[in-house]
Amino acid sequence: MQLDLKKIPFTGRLSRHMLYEETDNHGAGWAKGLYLALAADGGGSFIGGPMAGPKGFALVTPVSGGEPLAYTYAASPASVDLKTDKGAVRFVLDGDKVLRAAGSGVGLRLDGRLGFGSTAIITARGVEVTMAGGIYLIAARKGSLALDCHWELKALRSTDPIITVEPDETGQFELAIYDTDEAYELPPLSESLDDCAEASEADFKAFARSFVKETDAGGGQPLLSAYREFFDVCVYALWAGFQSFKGKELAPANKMSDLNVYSMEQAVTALPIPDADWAVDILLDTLSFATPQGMVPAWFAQRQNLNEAVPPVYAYTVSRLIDGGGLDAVSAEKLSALYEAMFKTVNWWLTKRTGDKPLVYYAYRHECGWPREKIFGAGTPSVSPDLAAYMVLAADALSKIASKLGKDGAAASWGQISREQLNILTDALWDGDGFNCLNPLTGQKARAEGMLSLIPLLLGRRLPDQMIDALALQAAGIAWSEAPVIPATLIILGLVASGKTDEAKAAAKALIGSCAGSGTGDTRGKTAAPAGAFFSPAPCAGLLTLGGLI
Amino acid sequence: MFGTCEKFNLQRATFARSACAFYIFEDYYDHLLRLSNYKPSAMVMSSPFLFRLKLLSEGVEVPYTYFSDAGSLKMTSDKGFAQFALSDQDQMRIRGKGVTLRIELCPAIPEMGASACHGVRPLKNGAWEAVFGTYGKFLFKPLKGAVSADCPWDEDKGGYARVVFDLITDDSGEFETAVHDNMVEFDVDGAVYPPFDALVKASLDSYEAFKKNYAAPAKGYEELFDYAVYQVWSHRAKADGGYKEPGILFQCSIAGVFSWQQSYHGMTMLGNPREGWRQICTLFLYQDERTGRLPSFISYVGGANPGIQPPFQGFALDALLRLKGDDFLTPEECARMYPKFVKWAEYWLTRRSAGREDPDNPGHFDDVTAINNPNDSGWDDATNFKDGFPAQNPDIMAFMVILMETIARLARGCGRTDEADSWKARADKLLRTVVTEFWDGEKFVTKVNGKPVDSMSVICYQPILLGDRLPKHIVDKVAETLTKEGHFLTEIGLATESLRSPLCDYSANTFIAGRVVAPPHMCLTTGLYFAGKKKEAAKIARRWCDNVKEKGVILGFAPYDHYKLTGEKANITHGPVASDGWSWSSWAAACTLMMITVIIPGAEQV
Repeated sequence: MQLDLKKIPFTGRLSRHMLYEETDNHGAGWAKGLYLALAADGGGSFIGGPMAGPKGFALVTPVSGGEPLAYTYAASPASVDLKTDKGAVRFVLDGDKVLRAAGSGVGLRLDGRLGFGSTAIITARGVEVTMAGGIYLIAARKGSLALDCHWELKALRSTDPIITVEPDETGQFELAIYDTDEAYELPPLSESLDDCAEASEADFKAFARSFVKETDAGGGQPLLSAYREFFDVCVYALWAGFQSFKGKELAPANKMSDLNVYSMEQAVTALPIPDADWAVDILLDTLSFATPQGMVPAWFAQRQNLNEAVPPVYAYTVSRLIDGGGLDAVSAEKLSALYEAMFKTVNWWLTKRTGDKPLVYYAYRHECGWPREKIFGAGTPSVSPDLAAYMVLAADALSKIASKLGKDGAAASWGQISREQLNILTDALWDGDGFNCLNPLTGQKARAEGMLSLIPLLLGRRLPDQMIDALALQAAGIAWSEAPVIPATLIILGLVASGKTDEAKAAAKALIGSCAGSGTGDTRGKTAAPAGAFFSPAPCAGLLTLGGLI
Repeated sequence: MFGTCEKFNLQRATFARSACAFYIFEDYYDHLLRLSNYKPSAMVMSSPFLFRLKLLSEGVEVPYTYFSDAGSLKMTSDKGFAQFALSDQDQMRIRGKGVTLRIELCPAIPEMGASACHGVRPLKNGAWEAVFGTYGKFLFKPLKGAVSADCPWDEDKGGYARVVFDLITDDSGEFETAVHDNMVEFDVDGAVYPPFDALVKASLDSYEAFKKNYAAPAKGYEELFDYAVYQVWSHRAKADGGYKEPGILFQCSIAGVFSWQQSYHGMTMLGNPREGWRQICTLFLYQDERTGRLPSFISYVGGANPGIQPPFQGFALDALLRLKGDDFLTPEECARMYPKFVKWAEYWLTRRSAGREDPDNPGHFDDVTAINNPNDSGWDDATNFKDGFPAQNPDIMAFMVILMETIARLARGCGRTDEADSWKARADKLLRTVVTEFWDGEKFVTKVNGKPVDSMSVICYQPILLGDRLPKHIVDKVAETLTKEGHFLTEIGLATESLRSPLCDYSANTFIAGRVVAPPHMCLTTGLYFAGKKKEAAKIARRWCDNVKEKGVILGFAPYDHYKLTGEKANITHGPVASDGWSWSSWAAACTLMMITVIIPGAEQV
């Protein structure tokens, strides 16, 4: 497959190295061209200016005799190949820590950008750029390096570095670019760039194959053929989206633009993962960030978490794993860990977000995940249909896992809670035409509008037909091509679960079609994503899930 | 101590308390008091997490004056008062009479509106919880009277139009409210609410007890001593969040426990050298086990922090030992800290090695260091870095000499005699190198690419901190230079760049390019003191201390409103600026305490 680096970077699973094409499509004044980038979140800017972000870290220009050369490029998950009239440059990833570059007939100029407190120096190891608490080390294996960077006394910063790579007498240069730190624990290098490219390609293909296998086996059909190329990009975005994060492997929102790890997104990221064991690991890793009381933070980052609740979407992911038989393959030990983790986090809702009655509510608007959705007609706190649906699924999942673990008493108890929550949804919140939200403090009710009111479709046949029909009718009014991908995905999956396959297929086509053209951002079609940040792992995972089902 | 009608107000200082993250200061522009909390480490000048404090009578805002000391802050109006007390239990208490206290979210930049607030909700018993995203959470719990919230949601903006809390009196005309803060989740079921006056007393007692960490001040500086100790005490964070042990913040508005500042504090604690030693050791709790690096700062929110600060720990320990003896340095302590100090020294000697071959040990580097970023020296805009990097600066090498010497002391203290001898030999050798290669007859010189940097920075004299290790002719020359009027010495202390230098710059947003700044005074006067130049040290110290006695415990001052060399007017901003010259600073307080408890009294004993 070919990558459009204007929309998605060349990178690899667990690697922070990236290469993308800056188009300055937001008019911020970037010089256009290919850039080296590093998915790092700044690492603690405190006083002075901001740290350099992933974007625009170093502009890459092939040169000859010091003059810049026009170039074209081709990119794949294996490599990025630049061609000029005078020669070529190839970039590959060697594992997750090293970006390798080799040139023939040309040199390279890297116009770097430093954040406050960062420096670039040249040492016996090569050019070392300090950033984000680490060191970006550019070492020459063939050819030579020169650095132009000096201290500006009055500006209290180093000038932006210009790194020049000159080929050796045979016209060749080769670089190893390490994502390291002051410990300089540099990994051994592969024999050749071709070996690196092959390894990357093999890893990606193995990952991609597992998706095709699942859809073939599950639906008997390949992924929507009209969108084959787009689904390749989604698979790539998911494969490349994972990062090492505090000893775990999770997917930040977007390696190019937002390195926070959103807990709700992890639940969606796990949806299409064919390996149930891995999917459970993603959920367990996510829930491990719960507060001592059991709240799963909205996001976590290297420095700080956003300690605000978000809906337990993971309940749906687990339900799918149970329904699909995925949990059968998971060890009892891991299943037990999942039970304990969910027990704690689901109980948080049952104790911290209920009053005298078992009405589970959102205390704050942001807790619904999309605070601008029209789900708070009765103000806050709000007993809302989407949350009630998640609670039905969560309690039911806990009941079934408890049963698998031989905890019969707990299974019965969670089963009772699930039924109770279902009754609240279908009795207290349903008014015959649609769902209401309910303010448990005032008793006020108001029609729950917007996409979140359709989330109960995830309960599928647990809902009466009349309710399903009414919700499906409402869903028909959604402008899928503009809808936020994650809730849209959940609703479409709900339509499928509710037997509304044709409606689901039409909605999925509209949703997927819009994303194929404009990326997976929630403002697609209105505001373009920043260069290189068009496709994010969680929405891509959602779309892949739809592709697999329809 | 601070107030509308006092010598000092809260425009530059803060009402704060040891082990409490709430703080209150006066807005420079509208003169209303503002409330914030340092846990999210937001900077005051750009923070959306600031609250304006108003007094209301019958719904109408009334003017007030205020007064604060270590125990409480009281806002007083014709109609009544509101009074604040802080506790070490993540709690602030407010009581009032005759008026309503309004606490209104009001960001530093008006365009931010109420964006910091993500949610407000009523709880049982009339309490309100407000959540502010990454800025944390407040819980207003009424103990007497009521709390009301006016926080309308703006559908168009997708956020709150305003966020206002009123603390309202009951029928008796009084109110009392506890405000809890938390960065994660509240669990206040077991919270206790001692009487207001008990909190005030506890704060005053805590402050008085903290004073005992210091030696008595020189005559005439008793009031300055109280203010300086208050500044340190009020900025002492407890072990919580990212802090593994108590540490002292730079400022509430730059709420980091900075690496080398902890040692500045440690060496001043002559009333309690054990606490001083603990303070010096603080950053070793966060040492990178692979490299030996100590992070440049620690904040409440935690996380890995880039950069380093100078290896000041040896100098601080040496000062404690010289001034208070070594009772606190038990064999167990030596054994505990020896390997950590060694790792820290090795970090510098390998990762900041100048790469010079050691003639006595061919194939190996000597112990001369070089830095690639002025932040490593602590002196961000000093002119000895004008020729760039890597810079071999003797100010750092002087720290290294004493660090290695104290490592030898620690080794000896735990029975590692051979290692002690080895480290002492290395310290002596580096000292010889500093003296023979980096002293040019007039000053110590920084070298870049082997060439001396032509600088008139006061940092060129910082190796005087080696004290009596230096030859007499150097000590004499440094003492003579630093006490010469109109060169570095001004009426308010030492300029950080010679007044004769064309590069002297004390305009807004400069640090060490000319301003009279506290920390170099600590290094230089302590060095002169240990070198036997006690009168000279005291002369300089008095200049600094007499100024801060009148102007406040601030990090730096422009010595004049014009430049002596050219007569040109200096660009000095008098309002709040991002430079270190604005707020009271606990770093400056530590330096001041050293001068008024050691340096100045020391001269009187001569």
